[in-house]
Amino acid sequence: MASDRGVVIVGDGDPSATDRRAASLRSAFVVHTAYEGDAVLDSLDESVDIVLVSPSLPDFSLHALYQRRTDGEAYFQVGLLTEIQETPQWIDAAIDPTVGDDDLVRVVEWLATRATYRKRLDTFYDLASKHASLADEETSVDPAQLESRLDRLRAEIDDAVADLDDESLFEVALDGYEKEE
Amino acid sequence: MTGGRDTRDDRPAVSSRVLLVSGQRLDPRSIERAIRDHHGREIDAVVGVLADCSASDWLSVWAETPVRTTTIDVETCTRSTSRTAEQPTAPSAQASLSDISERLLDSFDTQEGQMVCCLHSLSTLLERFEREHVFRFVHAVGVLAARHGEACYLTMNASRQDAATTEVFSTICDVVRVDRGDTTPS
Repeated sequence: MASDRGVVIVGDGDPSATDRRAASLRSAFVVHTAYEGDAVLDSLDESVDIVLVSPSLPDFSLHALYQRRTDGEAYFQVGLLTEIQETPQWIDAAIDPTVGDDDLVRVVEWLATRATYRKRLDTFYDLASKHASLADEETSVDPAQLESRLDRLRAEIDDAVADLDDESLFEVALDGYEKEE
Repeated sequence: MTGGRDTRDDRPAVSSRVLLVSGQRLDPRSIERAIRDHHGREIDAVVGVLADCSASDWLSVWAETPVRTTTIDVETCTRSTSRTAEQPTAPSAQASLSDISERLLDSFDTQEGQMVCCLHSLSTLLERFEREHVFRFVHAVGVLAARHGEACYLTMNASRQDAATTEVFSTICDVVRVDRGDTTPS
């Protein structure tokens, strides 16, 4: 099951808290740990679905994370481990650092479903665009193969949206255009 | 089902998205007829997300039917019904797709019974927003409408964008109806 999911990056100012949270998530996710802010940014690639991070992480910049999220290179969901209720609009979940392991897994499952919806929809759009341009291009791409991939993605998108509330649908579909504050 | 292209007669009972393609600009009367013709059963309510016609034009057409009607103006994000109309916000505050989605969610939340949604038109949305952004918005709207037991209708003027764009949006529509200019859409 963990192999079907994207990577979760976990980082907290307290290394033991980072390790504890990582351990509680490893039964369901592939987890990378980060003990400083640069490590979070260095780990961000297409395989990452979720960044679960505390502002207390040394050398961590929320602004830098925001920039990586909006530059369009890699899509990921952000869970901010903070007791402060007021967080920037682009943060997907504010998580109380005292959260229990079961509740943490539940929140991360929810974030993972949101990430899956968006990533599959982005891939679907790319392939649909490619399919639509086949008639105008000389290419070796097999249309039937593309259609088969689109069908598989439709099924995966349907599975993801089945677990999402109405608000999440739009938040995730329209992510990337929100302001930083 | 939230997507899938199907132009055959054995279409699903509830279509997530129905693409109405015409070679010319569609007027509210034509759209109302196309929706009711395709729908094939009673419609409780309809919400029109309007970029190509005024709320009053839309409301007057549907006022001749028993269907409860709401409109959301894409320019100002104001909402109107046959009985109430909000004052438009400042013209400088052009609505974003997020603003429109909030209004749509409100409309579905407060609606009793099932509600059809119509985006009129996709062609104008594509002139205002990036195609990929509109694509994801349309997908989410289709899921929302299907959850409330009804379909989302999308109007498109084929002469206002390239064939590839029509093709891309058809991949997330259960039904594509092409109006050839006669009385028999396919």
